[in-house]
Amino acid sequence: MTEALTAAADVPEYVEGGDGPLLAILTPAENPVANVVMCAGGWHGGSVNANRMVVQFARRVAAAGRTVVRFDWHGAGESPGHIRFFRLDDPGSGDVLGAAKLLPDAGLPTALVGICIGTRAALAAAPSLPTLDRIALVSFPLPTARAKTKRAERIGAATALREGIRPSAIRGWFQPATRRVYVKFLRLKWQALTRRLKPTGAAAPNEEARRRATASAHDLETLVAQIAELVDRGIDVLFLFGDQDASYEQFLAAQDGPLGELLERGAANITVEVVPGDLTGYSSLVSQTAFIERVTGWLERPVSA
Amino acid sequence: METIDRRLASGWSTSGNGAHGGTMLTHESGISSVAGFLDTKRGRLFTVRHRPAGEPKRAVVVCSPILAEAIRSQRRELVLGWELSAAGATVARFHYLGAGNSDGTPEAMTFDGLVADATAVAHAVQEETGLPTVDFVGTRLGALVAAAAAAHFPGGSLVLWEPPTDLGRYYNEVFRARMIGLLKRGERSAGGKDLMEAFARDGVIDVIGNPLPYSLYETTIGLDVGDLLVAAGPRPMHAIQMSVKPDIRPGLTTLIERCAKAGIPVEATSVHYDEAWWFGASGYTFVEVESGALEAIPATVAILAGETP
Repeated sequence: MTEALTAAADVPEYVEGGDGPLLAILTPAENPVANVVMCAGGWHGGSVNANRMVVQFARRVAAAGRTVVRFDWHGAGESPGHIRFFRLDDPGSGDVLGAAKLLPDAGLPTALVGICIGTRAALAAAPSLPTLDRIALVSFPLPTARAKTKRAERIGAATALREGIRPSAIRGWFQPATRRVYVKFLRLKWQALTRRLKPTGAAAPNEEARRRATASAHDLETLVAQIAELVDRGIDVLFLFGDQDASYEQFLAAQDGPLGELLERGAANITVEVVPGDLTGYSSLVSQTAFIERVTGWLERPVSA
Repeated sequence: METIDRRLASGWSTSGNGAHGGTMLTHESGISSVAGFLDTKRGRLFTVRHRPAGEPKRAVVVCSPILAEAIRSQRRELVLGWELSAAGATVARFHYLGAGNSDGTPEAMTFDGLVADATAVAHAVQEETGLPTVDFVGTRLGALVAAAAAAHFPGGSLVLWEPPTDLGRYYNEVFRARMIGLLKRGERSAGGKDLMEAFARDGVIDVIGNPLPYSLYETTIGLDVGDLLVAAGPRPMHAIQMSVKPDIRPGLTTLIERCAKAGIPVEATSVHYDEAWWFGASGYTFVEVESGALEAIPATVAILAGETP
């Protein structure tokens, strides 16, 4: 049975995010001891999610003394804007900081809780939150070497053309998901071609800044360095995965490199937990309960010295 | 050319609190959105009201589908709210008790409860606008909620987005989605009689991370959609089918014929789209409003403006 939820304390508020207004919802604790900024995954509208898991989480955490703010990302849920895809390399930290401004007791210790793409946004926003004392990275996606978009950079035009006229490739144009990959591929190919034809043409300043940010945010070393910086600040970090998450495999694979070193060095501050199920799509009630219980339990623990 | 989902997506600014409470956004065109709660006898309902730049010409209540379907439909309904308000309507969207940001638990959901929520919102929007009639737009199971609620508000129009015409088939689709979800996770499930016994005993079943309440199943499985439409009385009624096939489905055709015999004309339109209602978690697609389904929005705006879509 789902625990009874009440919206009595919830306060919806439109706030300014990174790219425009967002709908944020504040769930104030009666006598708050801390704050939580919830950066949920993008697919289900950040402030609600499947089976309103985020609503349940916020109300339960608030009942335990932490004021929670949750929000819909720019272009998703109830927030204005238009986005075609969520991009891991463009995480929207401005939305996180905009929502955090709604917290009435900004001086209290603050936790960031991110899910999937929300973890990247939380990480990007973390340096700008001076009261941050812990960060939960749930189903944290790491860069993979086999990203489909990289292929566009690797293969030549002749190979692309040869592969593109195969019957199976032509059939793909009739499937929306495959078609989107093709369009993305063609766009990247076109960009690569344009760059080659105009080697001296400098990108517009905004585009250049975006490109640099994109390149750095998508890099494993940079992500690990961001987390290491937090650990060095004495901030507690929780990595929580479902054993069915694709990101868990990425996390295991990445431990051969700098991530493994960080986990060893920061053992006093870093907790890694794995629960059965899928903490990206939350495709079962059990995985939703696991998320709520594990993160709530971790928030209850005292921060490391 | 600007697509409908982009037309009003930018140009918004926060503007404090709106009349009747709630937090407000204003668009450069003059339309606004107000998010807040509506207190009812049964609990607090989360609502978003979309208001026109000038005096409202129509009052519209949007009844969402449930569970995963509500997530799939949410952004489309938001864009509908923007577009209808740009066309001069005050539009109220809401979360049912037990869903989204509202009070309650899903286990307590019943069909009458959903209708009571829609009715409470309709009374509020009617009071706010002072208009004599209220139009209803409903999607999937929400279409049946809209039809039942509309029976309390004579004279307005009723627009049904992809309404189920046979509840048995509707729930078979839901159970099939559940089974696919379980197979994907490598789990097995009881089927048939065993499943239904467990459903009745536990009060809820997990459909790909969505708790389908037995109380809702029990109070909707026996509904006759034709009876609901006939009870809503003579009024402009329009069904919008979302399908890759242009022909109106046999189930919907039969329903329309049955209503016609009872003196209730129902128009039907098909928009080219195939919605994977229960598989929101498996792809990116509902971040953007898919192009085919977008046709449902101007069609609805045209219907409510009294034009032929």
